[in-house]
Amino acid sequence: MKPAQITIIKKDIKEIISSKQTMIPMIILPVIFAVILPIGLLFGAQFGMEGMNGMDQLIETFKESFGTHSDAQLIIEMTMNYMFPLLFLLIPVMTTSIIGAGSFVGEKERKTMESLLYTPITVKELFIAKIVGVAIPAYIITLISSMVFGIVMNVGGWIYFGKMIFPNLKWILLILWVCPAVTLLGLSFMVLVSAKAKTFQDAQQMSGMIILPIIFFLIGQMTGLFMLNEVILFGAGAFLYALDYFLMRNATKRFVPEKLV
Amino acid sequence: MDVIEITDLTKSYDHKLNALDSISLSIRKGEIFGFLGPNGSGKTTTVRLLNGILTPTSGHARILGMDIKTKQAEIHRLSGVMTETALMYENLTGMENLMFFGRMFSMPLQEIKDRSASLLEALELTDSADKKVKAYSTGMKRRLSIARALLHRPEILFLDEPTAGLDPESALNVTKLVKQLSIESGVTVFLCTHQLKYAEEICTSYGFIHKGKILGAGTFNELLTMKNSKKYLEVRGKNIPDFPNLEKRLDTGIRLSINTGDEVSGILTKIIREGGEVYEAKQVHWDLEDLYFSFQKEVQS
Repeated sequence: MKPAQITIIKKDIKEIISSKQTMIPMIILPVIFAVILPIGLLFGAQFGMEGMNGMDQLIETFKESFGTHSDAQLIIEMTMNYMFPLLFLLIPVMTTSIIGAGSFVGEKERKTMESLLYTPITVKELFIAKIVGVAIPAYIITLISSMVFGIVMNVGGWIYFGKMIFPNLKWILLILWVCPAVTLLGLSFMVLVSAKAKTFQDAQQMSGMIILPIIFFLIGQMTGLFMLNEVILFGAGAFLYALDYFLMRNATKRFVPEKLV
Repeated sequence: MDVIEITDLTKSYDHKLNALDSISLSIRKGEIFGFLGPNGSGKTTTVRLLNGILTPTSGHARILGMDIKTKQAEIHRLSGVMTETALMYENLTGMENLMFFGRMFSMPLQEIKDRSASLLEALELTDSADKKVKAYSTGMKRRLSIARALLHRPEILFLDEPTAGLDPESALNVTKLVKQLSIESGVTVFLCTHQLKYAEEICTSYGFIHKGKILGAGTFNELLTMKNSKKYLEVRGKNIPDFPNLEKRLDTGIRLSINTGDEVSGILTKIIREGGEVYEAKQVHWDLEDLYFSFQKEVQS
């Protein structure tokens, strides 16, 4: 990577840190998904299955598979391995969308992209610098969130199971295989959106569409339509990487100065 | 040597109307070229095309012999651009902005610091160097953009309305700086403005643009010749009679077109003989404003 590209990445990270508009949602979201909800789950698990409305089918399937588990253990097992992985995917999606909107459309909106385009960097080099500058912080936030989530879940593990329950193969696959694919998906979507969107808010709204498949999977999971397992995760990751490749190729073609100013 | 060569350059955003319509220009090294036209006439589009931000619909151009379609990064290394649509990072300080852009041009760290300090001083921004740009006034932001454009010692400078929004003192400073660069370092300046008085003060050659078309280009004398411009006699006084060669009536007098200075005494005699009074009489030539409007009038007619 050229020094000018590293300079852009450092500048982008500095801008992210100094902008409240970016920092506040980026802190709130992971805190909700990796701290507040898991703590709520661990606290609520002691009250049994009464609070789990609308998930009867899934609970029945679970009782068949984990007959020896107590209600509290069943709840933790079910939510940690079947509900939270999907909710957790919202972290890379949202962080990529927030950082990407600032990095791509924010530069256009604040009219700084043109200043950047007058420097001796090629459009391709700029594209790569921007992609890396968004992907790295977004993925680091996902990793930190997963560590915090792991600590919270292991506290629950010690209380309810007497052992550490995180990470397991499913979560390792999710964090190291699916999350980078989702981060890239969010990014290529943002680049495509940046050619059309004029403001930071426009870009975030347009890229919000990307959470729809995750919500669809979440509903499918809750209603017992399918059970999330390692094969599905691996397959979903592979599909997403293929989609990323296709979208990124398109995004590269649309990343031309005329559409960026 | 022509530093900027433009041949039949055309740009259309919608493939119906031409924002720039087959313009051709050549600008020599060390010139301060005033690109003059009203808002929306195509000045900024030209700057953006010449710097590879926009792609021409047809035609071609070269900057220092380099094709604008294929050598954008190389052109950027040698040119400094300041336009109203290329702003600085608001969340960074003035100095941080210059450090960032200096690194983008691969300048050594110490050179960026020294050059930034001297430009900030010349543009009276030293005291605000460590303030975030969002706290700057419009004039300060503009001066910082000029500092950015000059930071890497460009050979060509594209300035789009550099003094708009500046107080007279700052405008004078910028003018001095640009002139100095042109004279001492041979920097070629492509200056877009609609302020004719300002252009007259600083430019060594001109191009008039209107609705994407070049109306005329050259030095002041070349443009005067193109228009067969005449001399004028301006007379201030009272009860001044009409003359067949009357160009226009002024608030307190008249302006007549004359061919030679010999006609002056005859005109003054006629005024006095017909009961008029003369307080002041002077021969004047066309200024840039006259020249500009004469080209504009031709288009409108």
